[in-house]
Amino acid sequence: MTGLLAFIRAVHLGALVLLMGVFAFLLLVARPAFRKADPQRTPDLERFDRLLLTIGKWSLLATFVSALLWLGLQAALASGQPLTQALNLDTLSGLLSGTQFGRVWEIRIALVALLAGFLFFRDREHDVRDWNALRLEGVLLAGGLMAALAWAGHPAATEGPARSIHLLADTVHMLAAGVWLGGLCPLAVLLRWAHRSPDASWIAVAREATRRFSLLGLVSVSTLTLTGVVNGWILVGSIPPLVGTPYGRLLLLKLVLLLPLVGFAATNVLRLKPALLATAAQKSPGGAQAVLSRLTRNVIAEASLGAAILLIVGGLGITPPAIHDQPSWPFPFRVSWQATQDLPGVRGGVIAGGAGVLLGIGVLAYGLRKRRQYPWVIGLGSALVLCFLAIPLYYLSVDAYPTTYLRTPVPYQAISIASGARLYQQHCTVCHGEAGYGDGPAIRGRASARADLTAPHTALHTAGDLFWWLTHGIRGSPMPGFKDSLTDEERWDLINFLRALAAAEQARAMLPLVEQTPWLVAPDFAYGIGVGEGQTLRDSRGWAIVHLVLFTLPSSIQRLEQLDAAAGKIAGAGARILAVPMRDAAQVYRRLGARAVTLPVAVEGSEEIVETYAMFRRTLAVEGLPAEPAHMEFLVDRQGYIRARWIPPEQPGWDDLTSLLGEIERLDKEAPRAPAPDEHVH
Amino acid sequence: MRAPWIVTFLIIVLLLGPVPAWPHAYLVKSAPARRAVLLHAPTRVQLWFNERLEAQFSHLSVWNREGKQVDSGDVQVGPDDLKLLSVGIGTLAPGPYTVKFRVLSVDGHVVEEQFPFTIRGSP
Repeated sequence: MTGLLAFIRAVHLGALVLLMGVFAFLLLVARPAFRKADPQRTPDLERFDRLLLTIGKWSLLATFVSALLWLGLQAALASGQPLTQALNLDTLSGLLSGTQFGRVWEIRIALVALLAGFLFFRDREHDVRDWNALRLEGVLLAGGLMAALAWAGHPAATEGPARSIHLLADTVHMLAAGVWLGGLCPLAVLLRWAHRSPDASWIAVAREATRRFSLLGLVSVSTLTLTGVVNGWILVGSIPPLVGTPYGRLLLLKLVLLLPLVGFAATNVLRLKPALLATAAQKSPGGAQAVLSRLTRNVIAEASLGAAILLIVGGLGITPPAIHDQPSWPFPFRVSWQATQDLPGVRGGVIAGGAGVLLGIGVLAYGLRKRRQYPWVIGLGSALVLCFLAIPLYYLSVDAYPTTYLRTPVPYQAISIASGARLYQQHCTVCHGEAGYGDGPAIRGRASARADLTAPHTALHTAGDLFWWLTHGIRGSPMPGFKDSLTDEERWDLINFLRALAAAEQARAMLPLVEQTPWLVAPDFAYGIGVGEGQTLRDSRGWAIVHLVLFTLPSSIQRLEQLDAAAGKIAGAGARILAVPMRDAAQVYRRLGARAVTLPVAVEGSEEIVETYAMFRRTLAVEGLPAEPAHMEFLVDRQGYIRARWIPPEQPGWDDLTSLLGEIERLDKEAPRAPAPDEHVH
Repeated sequence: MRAPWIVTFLIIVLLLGPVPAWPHAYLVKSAPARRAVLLHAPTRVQLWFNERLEAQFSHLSVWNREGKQVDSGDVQVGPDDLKLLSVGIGTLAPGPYTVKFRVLSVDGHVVEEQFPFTIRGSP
């Protein structure tokens, strides 16, 4: 059904483009051309005008019918029912009144009705103003129909300030396509009529029309390029989505079809148009006829390529935008300065290669200037450029896999990290060791290179690279693939666990004093207080500092009572306390007994919170700190970063409440910064 | 023939009319959370989205391990929060469950997903 929808959209777009083209052509090309060539040719203009208005009527009808079909298909798609069942009053009225698609559809049908009224019930036109008025209304209403389309498509879903830019670019893109592609059909008709007519003044009309249309085409193609780049920037954004997603590949196909189209257009403008204009001086109709015949053929070829492009555009509209999709990288390497800049030899290689390329460009420029005397210098220059370009590419390229540019579909959350930790215990410790240093029993004493999983992340490997290795193993190393034993989600869990593991290693030096720069992302988690509604750590982002207290009963009881008594002051400083039992969450209220602790205690979800945050217990061997602490406290700032940590009996510590309040106040006074990177993928 | 500016005016009025600003639809949060293991069975499954939802085109259901639908079928948007989609569930026995949902996004795409949660039951 999606194939049918793509086709219907293409037909709808084609009809709209033709509608726009017909009116714009009459107004901007045909009438001025007829009047300039021979003011006496009014009957011919009327005949041409009648034909184009008839084409316009049929296009309008096609627009209307395809809009009806589109509505039906959209109803089926939206409701998830088969087409025959989806076409009931309930679904259709829901779609029309309750969705953006429906509202825009209603507006567009009103525009179609208005234009139909003008076209089918038109009065006799008394003067030029009347004549112009109808064609201008046609252009405006067809333009309105196109502009409204953008409001129900991808631009409507763009977020943030890019939205109005995207809406504008998309609208202008369609308008320009309508004026140019849609004008090709009327142009072909006009050229054919001129070609068939023995009358010399018809050739003058064709000449003037070609001159005017080529100007129109030039403006349109420049506009299309500019707005197309803007749209591509918003919907595709970078190279991996362009070459790795269905949307990106359709777009590439569209560009491939566009090249010959622009080639034909360029031939028309650069060769045939001057040839046609030159025949004006010759007085021999034969030469003009030959040029006209070639020109007509080219215009028809252009129009067919345009129709093929519209088919692709129909498909693009129902394909998720590349930027929201997961790209599958088709090459075995990628080129990245960020990843390679610190590797030995890279900077030298890039500088040497760059110098070589400059030399090649110099030779090429010389060759172009002296192309008559030394044509071979051009070849030499090109060869130099290509050869020297290969040097930096060689140095900058890193191994890549189909999954390299995947964004993790599983958010960096406690539930995933805890699951990853369990999987790591089961599958990985045998080689990588309990702590990830690469000292597991299976490879102990072997000389093979071991990965230190606690090393800080480098740009050399993406999360997608890790996913590939976990899935397929690493060739030439003992690392096996887990494609058959772990699900996709479980492999991403392991990657989230590894990220937390490396972060915990880096966080060993963390103190009960707020760190200046936020860097340690607090893994998000869902929790429930008692039987109340589920909440997440993220919910506090932007408005509250979270004082996270991991406790064990009964040893933490005094501390809980102390915090409970100071809860008002802590809240006043801008923080909310969240207490998480490290053991026996189900028993926590029973064990608190009669003690009046009113702090919010996360009962649901506590296990994975504890499993995850206990990873951040690693310290720089400070004397006297327990290896498995029973009580830990963290301050999470409003942007979602862990900024300070206290593990009793570390001193000075937060058992001195003034120091805790001081740290909270420091966080509270901070100017808002960028939030922790969003893990959401859609 | 009427003057073209009337039409121009009409088009502008139609285009500048109240077209709401809706971004792409996605799940912001859910209760129970994806893959949560719960001590207490909730009474409703609640999904929060980033945009207002249309009841007509929002589906939500809960299934048990045997593939039997266990929600009470009273899927509703709101009532106060139009971004909240929820359905009631009876008293669920301990075990794994699957939440399935399907919503319509503003650019006409359908967002369809599912996620599991488990009720462990309190001892």
